Amino acid sequence: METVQEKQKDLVQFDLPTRVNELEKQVAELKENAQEDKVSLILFSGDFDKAIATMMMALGAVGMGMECTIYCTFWGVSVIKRKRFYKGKSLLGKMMTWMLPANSHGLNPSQMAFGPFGRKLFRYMMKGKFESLEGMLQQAIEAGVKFQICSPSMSMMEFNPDEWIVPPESAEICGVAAMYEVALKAKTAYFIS
Amino acid sequence: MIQLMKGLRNNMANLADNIELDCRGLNDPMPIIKVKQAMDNLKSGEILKLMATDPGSSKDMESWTRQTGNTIVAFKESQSEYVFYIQKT
Repeated sequence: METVQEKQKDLVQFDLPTRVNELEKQVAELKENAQEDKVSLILFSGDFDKAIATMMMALGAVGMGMECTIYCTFWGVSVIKRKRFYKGKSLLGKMMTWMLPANSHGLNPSQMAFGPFGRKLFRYMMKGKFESLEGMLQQAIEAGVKFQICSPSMSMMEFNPDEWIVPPESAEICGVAAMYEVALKAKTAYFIS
Repeated sequence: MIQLMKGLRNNMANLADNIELDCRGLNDPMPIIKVKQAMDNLKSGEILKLMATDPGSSKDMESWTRQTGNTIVAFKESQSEYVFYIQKT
């Protein structure tokens, strides 16, 4: 592949209109590949604390006037779940659904979990001072944060499109290519594992 | 110096805000979201008065105004309470 400098060196032999045309084409190409005011968050983790951090980052990005996309994959899908669905799933799929939290109230923190008491402790500590995880998720949806749901983990763990709390207009099921399209155009991309 | 301070204080007293936003008691991302929403409703040149208690808010609002192109015209800090006058450009 030739670099821009090489291209411009070749241009010298042509007349002016050709050169201007060629340069305009190059500028248009550069503009198309330019980064936009966007933030891409890839939420891999299904831990309570990391979900909180993700929602704070998403809300902060929206507040700074940027667009934000959250790509939920693997355990991160549990953060935007509404309830359990068993119908039409295989035995292993049913088991997976039963083992995973039914909704974001069942998420445990990554440290100091103490069985089910850790999440209660953290929620108690946040009460009144911070917005709850569900409240932040709702605000993010209202503020226009886009959600992408990983299709490989959906088919592997047999998730159901009805399980999401996110309305269909702000959620889409997609693979890694759509995630890259967003992440490459974004100014920053974070992987939250 | 004293005159300058006096001038600033007078400036502060004369500042008329178009909207008052009370973010006291709210923590990190909430004041930013609220300011953004309030600023969206303002016209160019109008002033928003923001009250906050979040200790990070002075640094946060500095960054926010730099990013969004608005200006802080006055700032006051007293007993862990911060007051900002932000003008929309």
